[in-house]
Amino acid sequence: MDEAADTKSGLLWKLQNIDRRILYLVLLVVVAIPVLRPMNITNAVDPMSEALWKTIDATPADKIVLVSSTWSKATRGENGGQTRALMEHLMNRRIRFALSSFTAPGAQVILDIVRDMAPRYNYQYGRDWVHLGFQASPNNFVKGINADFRKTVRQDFVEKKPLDAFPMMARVKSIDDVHMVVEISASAVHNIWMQFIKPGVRVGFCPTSVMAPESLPYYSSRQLAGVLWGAKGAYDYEQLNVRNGTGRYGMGREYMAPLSAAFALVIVSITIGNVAMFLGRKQTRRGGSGS
Amino acid sequence: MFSLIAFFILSAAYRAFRIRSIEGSILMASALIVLLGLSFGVIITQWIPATGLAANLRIETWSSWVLGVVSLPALRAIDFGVGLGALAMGLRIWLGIERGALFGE
Repeated sequence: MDEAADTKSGLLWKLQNIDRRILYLVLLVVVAIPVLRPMNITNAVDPMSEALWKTIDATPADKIVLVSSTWSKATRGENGGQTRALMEHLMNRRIRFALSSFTAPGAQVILDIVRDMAPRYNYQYGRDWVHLGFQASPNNFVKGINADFRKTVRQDFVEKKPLDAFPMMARVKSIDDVHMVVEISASAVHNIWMQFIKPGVRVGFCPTSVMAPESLPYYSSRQLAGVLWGAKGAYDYEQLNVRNGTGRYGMGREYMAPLSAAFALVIVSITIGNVAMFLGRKQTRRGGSGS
Repeated sequence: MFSLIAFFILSAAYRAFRIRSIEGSILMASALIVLLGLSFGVIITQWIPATGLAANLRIETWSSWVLGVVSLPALRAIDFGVGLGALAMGLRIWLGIERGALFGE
């Protein structure tokens, strides 16, 4: 057997070239364990999540929070947890809110979540919350509500009635009556709010993890009042809710353990690959086969 | 459906993240710090006090530093670059200088 063939059969070579199907299988097992046996993961709350929680918590009684839901089932793992944690907080503090969406599925997914949670907190449609529905033209919607909600949204999403039909909207005329806008999204929709909303209105952003870094410059310049970073952001928010008695653990904690397990596997596999590469090189320099 | 990417990320990270240069080492170190800071890594430095000077040694502080001090200016520079590029292209089209796509050979 020549030296090259001998090297390729060695343990160090094998550790540098693990078959991807084996990696997939290991990942499946590693993620399945915390899914089947839920566990707590120690977490440090990010200041960006805390900033969002504090801004929402400071909502005055005469103002509402506008929650925009621009996500679908594809990102439920991250945006679903964020939405639930946010709604727990709003409903526990009895903060009135309006929902809207820049995508058709987004309007439905948040409606399903709120309908599921509302009975637990005795949240009544029209009195405590309304749904403005899918808004096909984001720019015009934001510019419109800056001046007048009624001229921008002719009817609500659930009962198809004019906004004047709901007691909650009696004192809500324009964006001046909104304490904060929170965008829950899988894409960079926060730009629309920051570009077109009336200056002074706070904007919070709940993106997926891959989108979160893009929003960092705006949080740093205080154009965003807070950011929830994917599934970790959801867990952060749940922790803040539990700590302050405004909610309980849910999807955020449930999803954080499998996520952490997957991260751990990524780190371990990178380490194995590099250690094997270094030892292999060392042996090659000494004139060995790397096995 | 989105979570299917995890399989490809694991396989790609295992194959691509090899320390072959100083730049590669820096990239890997920062990626590990951010990964640990965003997940279970907090456990490693949990014993260090969360306040005072010692808090700087906690993994989440390192992670925040990488994101806020190293990554953030780069992201801002990209944003400025894209903005200026769009502005320059807009001016070129507006002034009739940019002819390539519509009128060029």
